[in-house]
Amino acid sequence: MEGFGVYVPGKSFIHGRDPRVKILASIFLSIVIMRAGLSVLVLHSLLMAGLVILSRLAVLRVISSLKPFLSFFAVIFVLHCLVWGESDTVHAVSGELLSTEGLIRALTVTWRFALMVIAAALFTMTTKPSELIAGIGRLLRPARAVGVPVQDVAMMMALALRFMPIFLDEWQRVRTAQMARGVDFRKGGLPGKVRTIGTLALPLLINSFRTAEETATAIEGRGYGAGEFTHLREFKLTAADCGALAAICIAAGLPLIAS
Amino acid sequence: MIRLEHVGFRYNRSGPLVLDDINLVIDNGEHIGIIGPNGSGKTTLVQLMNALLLPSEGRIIVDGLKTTDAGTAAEIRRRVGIVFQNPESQIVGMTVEEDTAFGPGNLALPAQEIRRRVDDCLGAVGLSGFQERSTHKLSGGEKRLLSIAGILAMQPRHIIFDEPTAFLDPAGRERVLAVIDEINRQGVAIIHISHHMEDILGADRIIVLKDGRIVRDGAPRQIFCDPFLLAGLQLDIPAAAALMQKLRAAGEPVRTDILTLDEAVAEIRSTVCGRRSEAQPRVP
Ligand SMILES: Nc1ncnc2c1ncn2[C@@H]1O[C@H](COP(=O)(O)OP(=O)(O)OP(=O)(O)O)[C@@H](O)[C@H]1O
Ligand SMILES: [Mg+2]
Repeated sequence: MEGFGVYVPGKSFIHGRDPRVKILASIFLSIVIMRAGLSVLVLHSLLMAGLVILSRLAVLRVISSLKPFLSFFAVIFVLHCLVWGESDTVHAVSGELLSTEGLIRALTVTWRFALMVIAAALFTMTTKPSELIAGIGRLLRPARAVGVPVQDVAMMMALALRFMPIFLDEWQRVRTAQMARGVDFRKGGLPGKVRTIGTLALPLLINSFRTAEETATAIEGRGYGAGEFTHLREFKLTAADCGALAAICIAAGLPLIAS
Repeated sequence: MIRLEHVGFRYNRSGPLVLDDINLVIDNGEHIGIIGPNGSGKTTLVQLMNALLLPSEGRIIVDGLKTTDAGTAAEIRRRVGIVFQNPESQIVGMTVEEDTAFGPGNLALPAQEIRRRVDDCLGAVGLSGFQERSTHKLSGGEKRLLSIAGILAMQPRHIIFDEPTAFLDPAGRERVLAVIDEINRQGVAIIHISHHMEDILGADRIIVLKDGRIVRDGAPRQIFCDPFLLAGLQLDIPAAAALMQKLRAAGEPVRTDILTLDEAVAEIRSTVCGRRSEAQPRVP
């Protein structure tokens, strides 16, 4: 079972767009969706469906990224029904448990969140993590003017991504090693748990300090820190990139303004 | 050319001299082997050669650039690449191609040139077709080859290998050694640290390090066939040399300046043949 929004290699129109365009489009879509009413949401859903088809991802796979959020959606839905219901004078007088307004309101809010989740999943499923980071780095470039080391921050994020699976492996390894030495991770209640976490974290921490130092030396040895750097992929906005961003803004923004 | 003149190094100002009065010249295209017990200063020595460490005493000059001069580090690191002892900490990309592109990217090369180098260098180490693979899922041998490709992609004139065959199975070891030989044939100087004497039998020169000093510098045959030197350093003696020394100690009149198994076979055969012809004079 893969985690949420894991990158799926592909060669679709969406895969090929500049990461900056995808970041901006995702942000714009989220803002617009957050303000949309029920009828506009229908249009946005159609737009999203079009994007999913354009990405040539398996539709079911995209939809299944909603799964981890189902209970969240349920809570949101119920809460909005009730809260809206209570402050609703019509409802208070009539004594109904559910009002149509409450239902509509709950439906709208839940639908918004679901669409945003789909948008986010579509974005990360079609964007390599490294390109995502490079894109953020490029977008934040102006911040260098006020002294933010944008390049280093981007490098740090890339390294975090690279070393996360190793860290998890290490965690397993240390855990097994400690169990082999007779540490029982199920015993001892809360204080015991805290102590066992300590016994796990310490060797792990020492290991990661060593790895971090070695990696720092290695990336310096590979020429990092000399100044500007380039990527395997050229970050140049094409006509297709600009067109795609404009099209999304119009398609998602116009209905909202019109309504 | 890398030249070290009276180089001394300490990690802390008040600490001991980890390297002491090192004098060494490495010519273009040369293949050097460095051996020495654990902690003798091998890794420290090579990190001085590409300005990752700066000497506490003496000076180091790479292709005319002094490592202690301001602003030379980037150029020196482009000329001298290090394949580190632990490939895991050298790999920084999520995918094979992204990792190989890291070095050329730091040289700010244009995207097509990076793509060309990445594909060429992955091919050179036998990893073509691995471009999109996740680096985390590579085998130990593949990680090692990838770390070599990442350095090759910077097109350095000198490449340092810090124990490149450690933790590899025999097949992986053969592959890495073949890649190193091929790189050397292209005219790149190789500085090869190893605990396996067999790996560096083919080097032009062997440097022996002990307690931070160069105790020997000579041809492999001189170093490896010296019965006392390697034993005194508690280092392995190449199998063929060890065999011949044992035979000699047992009183057999064999030569002991033997490096490879093939040479050993030839020498033993000629000794045995000589004895047979003495023992059984031809019947008239
Ligand atoms: N970062 C450091 N800080 C302080 N001392 C160090 C550091 N790195 C190495 N040393 C010390 O310097 C000496 C030489 O270490 P170095 O790693 O160069 O040896 P080596 O020959 O590469 O050993 P090995 O065969 O184990 O790789 C050792 O005594 C070591 O403890
Ligand atoms: Mg070492």
